[in-house]
Order: sequence, then C-alpha cells, then structure tokens
Amino acid sequence: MRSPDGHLIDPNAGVSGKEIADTVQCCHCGMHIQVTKDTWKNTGWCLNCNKVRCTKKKCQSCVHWEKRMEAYEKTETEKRRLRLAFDSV
Amino acid sequence: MPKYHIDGTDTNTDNTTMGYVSAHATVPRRTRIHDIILGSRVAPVDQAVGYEFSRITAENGAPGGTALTPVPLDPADAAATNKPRSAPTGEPTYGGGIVLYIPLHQRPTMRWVSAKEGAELVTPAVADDGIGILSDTPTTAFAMIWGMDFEE
Repeated sequence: MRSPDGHLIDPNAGVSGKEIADTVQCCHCGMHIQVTKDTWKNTGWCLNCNKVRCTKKKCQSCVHWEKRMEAYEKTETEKRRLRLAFDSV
Repeated sequence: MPKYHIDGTDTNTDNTTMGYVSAHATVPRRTRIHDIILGSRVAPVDQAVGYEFSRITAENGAPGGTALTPVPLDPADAAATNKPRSAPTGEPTYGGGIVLYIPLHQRPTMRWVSAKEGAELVTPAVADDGIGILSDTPTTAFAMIWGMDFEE
C-alpha cells in the first residue's frame, strides 16, 4: 500500500521482522482497519477529507476525529467540574 | 513529547481486560500509543484469539491487578502522569468503540506500529479515559504478554 497509517509486523521473521499487513485509519473516529483484499468493500471514502473512513453510522458525517475529541474533552471536563461542584454542596 | 514503555501479562479469558492506559484523575493528558507488541511464552499449542483495543470512559472503583509505572525511554524525562494497569480484576467501562483489532494465533508474536505522526491511537485528555486491551473469544485462554510504547 502506498501510504499506510500503521503496520502489523511479525518481529520473529527474518533479521528485522516481516511486515504482515498494513492498517489504515478512519479519518472520523481514529479506528485502524487492517488492509486485506476485501477491505475496500467494507470501508468508505470521505471526499471532503480525501481519506478512508469506516462504515460506522457516526462516521458518515464529516467531522475529523481530532475535532470530535476536542468537543468530547470540553463537554466531559465541564460535566465532571459540575458534578464535583454539585457533590461539594 | 516524552515517550514511555509499559508491559504486562495476563490470561486472555474471553471478554476480560488484560491491561489499559488511563489518564490521570486531576491532570489528564492525551496519550498517543505508537507501538504495541503482543505475544505468549507458554508452551506452543494451537489457539486463536482476537485482541480489541477499545476506548475506556471510566476506570473501575476497585481496579485490582497491578499498577504499572511507565518507564521513560529517555531517562532524563519526568515521570508519566498516566496510570496504566495490568491484569485488572475490576473491569473498566468501555465506550467510544474499538480503535484497533488484532486477530492472532498463540504461536506468533505480533507488533503494531503507527506509520506516521498523527496516526497513533490517541486517548482524550479527560480523567480516567484511556484505551484497554480486551480479549475476544480465545479458543482456550492462555497467558499472554503485551507491551506498549506511548507518548504524552
């Protein structure tokens, strides 16, 4: 594969290991998908990001995983801050 | 960003966590896992298993197992804030989906490395959030060893 996002390696094969497979990362959730000859039947392509995306429902809308994570961090941190404030009352 | 190494061992009973990394409760930081190694050193037999790397949203109140101390790859680096654990007896709460799935036989050792910067397995900077290794349907459970390199 020309531009993989990860490699699966058998470290005991040969002198410095042997690459078994490549992985590609979903641009919307960050999941790595092992590349096989059937991978392309089960993955999508985001025309906006120009990258592979997985078939999960939440990944059909174009939101980059880092943006999603930032939003999650913001809401979770606020939620926990409020919970702590509520517990101390 | 400083890099750290952790490793642990556990029996891969179906649907149990063998180890995890989770952010600090008060000073959470993002963790980027860039190298994972999975293997077994018990007498070789034909067993198959799958390993799910899934997102954790909360640690168990009584996690049990062994608290791991991440080893800085550069000795000059400060201690990690992350609080990883091996062979926990109290299961953490999973949510947010699988980020990597590795189907594996017992005999070989398998290593996953991220190919480029930005393709690591990233955990959010939220208290107790992280990534756990979950065993999926082993034919017969056996002792396995795992290792991870991460930066934070």
